[in-house]
Amino acid sequence: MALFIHGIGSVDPAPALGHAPEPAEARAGNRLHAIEPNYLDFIDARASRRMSRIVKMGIAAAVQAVRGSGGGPVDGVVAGTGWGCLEDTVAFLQKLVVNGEDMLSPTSFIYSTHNTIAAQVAYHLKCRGYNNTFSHRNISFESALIDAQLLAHEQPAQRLLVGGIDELTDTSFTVLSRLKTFKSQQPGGPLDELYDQGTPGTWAGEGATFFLVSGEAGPTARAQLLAVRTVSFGTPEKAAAVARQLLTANQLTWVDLLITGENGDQENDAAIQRFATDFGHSGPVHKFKHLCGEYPTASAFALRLGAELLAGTESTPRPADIPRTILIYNRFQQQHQSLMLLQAC
Amino acid sequence: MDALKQQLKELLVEHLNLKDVKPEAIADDQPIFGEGLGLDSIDALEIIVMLQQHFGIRLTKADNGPQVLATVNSMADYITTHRK
Repeated sequence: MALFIHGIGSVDPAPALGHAPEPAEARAGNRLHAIEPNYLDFIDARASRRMSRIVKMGIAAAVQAVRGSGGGPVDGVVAGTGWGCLEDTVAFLQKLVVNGEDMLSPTSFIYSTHNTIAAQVAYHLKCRGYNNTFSHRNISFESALIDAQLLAHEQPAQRLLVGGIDELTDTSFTVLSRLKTFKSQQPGGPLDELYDQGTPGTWAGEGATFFLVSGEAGPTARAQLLAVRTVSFGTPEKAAAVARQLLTANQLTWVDLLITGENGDQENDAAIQRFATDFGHSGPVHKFKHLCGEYPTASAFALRLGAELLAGTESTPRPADIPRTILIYNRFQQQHQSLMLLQAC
Repeated sequence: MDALKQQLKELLVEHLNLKDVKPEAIADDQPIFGEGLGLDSIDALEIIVMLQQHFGIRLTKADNGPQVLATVNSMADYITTHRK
């Protein structure tokens, strides 16, 4: 079941997509920060006083997506988050330690759960319909998309918000740095220096991206998502075989553009090269993690990039370069791979 | 007593993250919930934790909550009476 993308909203390190984020705003060493909007444009001060940063990011992205679709009611919210609401989780755990497991703040506890973002989005938009959150590491967003596809299959006219949200806190950055997730070298040059260093590790990132989708096309549709697949614990060649099946199932023989989740980690990027070789793509390839950093739902950023390219709203060198079909391939470490096949409307 | 009330107002602003409210703008007899400061049931839980943390006060009877937490005056009275 194809999903038509009618609206896109995002709070991430690269609001202008292909344009490099301003270093002073978005970059701090190996870490890319989301450039946050004035939240008062989206949430009133009283409602936002308990919200942590990730909840505000999620609501702002969701509201942008609804506005971008021309407004109107939302019938359901499906979110994906690999890390969840870390800021409140850390606050709750710290109080647990400091206060000797006594006198704990109810707010931090309530807001630490993974579904807080989707719940607050629904509460804010007065959506009393379907509400669900998937947390499956780096295929959390793809799992949310698959759920949205199933919902659209049942009722194509439903307007669904589907998104991927992850925040990076100082604590999680420190912990993940100790686990050698991020590069030890401090970057200072252009953003694409992330790639081709031949070293382990990546840059940290974060972002909230929401899409207003439905199973029906219409004047507001920017792109259609033909298929989403996840491949867990398989080789890149296995993912390439699945990609070829997707093309065949959608009466395609090639795609105009391949968007890949290379993240500068030599092992990860070598696996992506194996995928590209086996898949047999000879056209252009776009990378995106130098713009948003690495986080479990970075593929939502890639989908945003792909949809904007298909719609012609993201700049390309020439109009003739606007693609008609895009395949997004993402992976992180040795566990999960994902594929998203997009087509212009 | 005035110092206690001032401390309570500052703690309310800090614990409940009332960014747009200055402690001195909260009147002693202003209702804390509903029409007054507009607080809700989650705030009530936060205030109960706050009273326990800062004054060693435990609200043992849930039925007393609405009366005790109604205003800064009522909280100050309760603390003064029950503080050990």
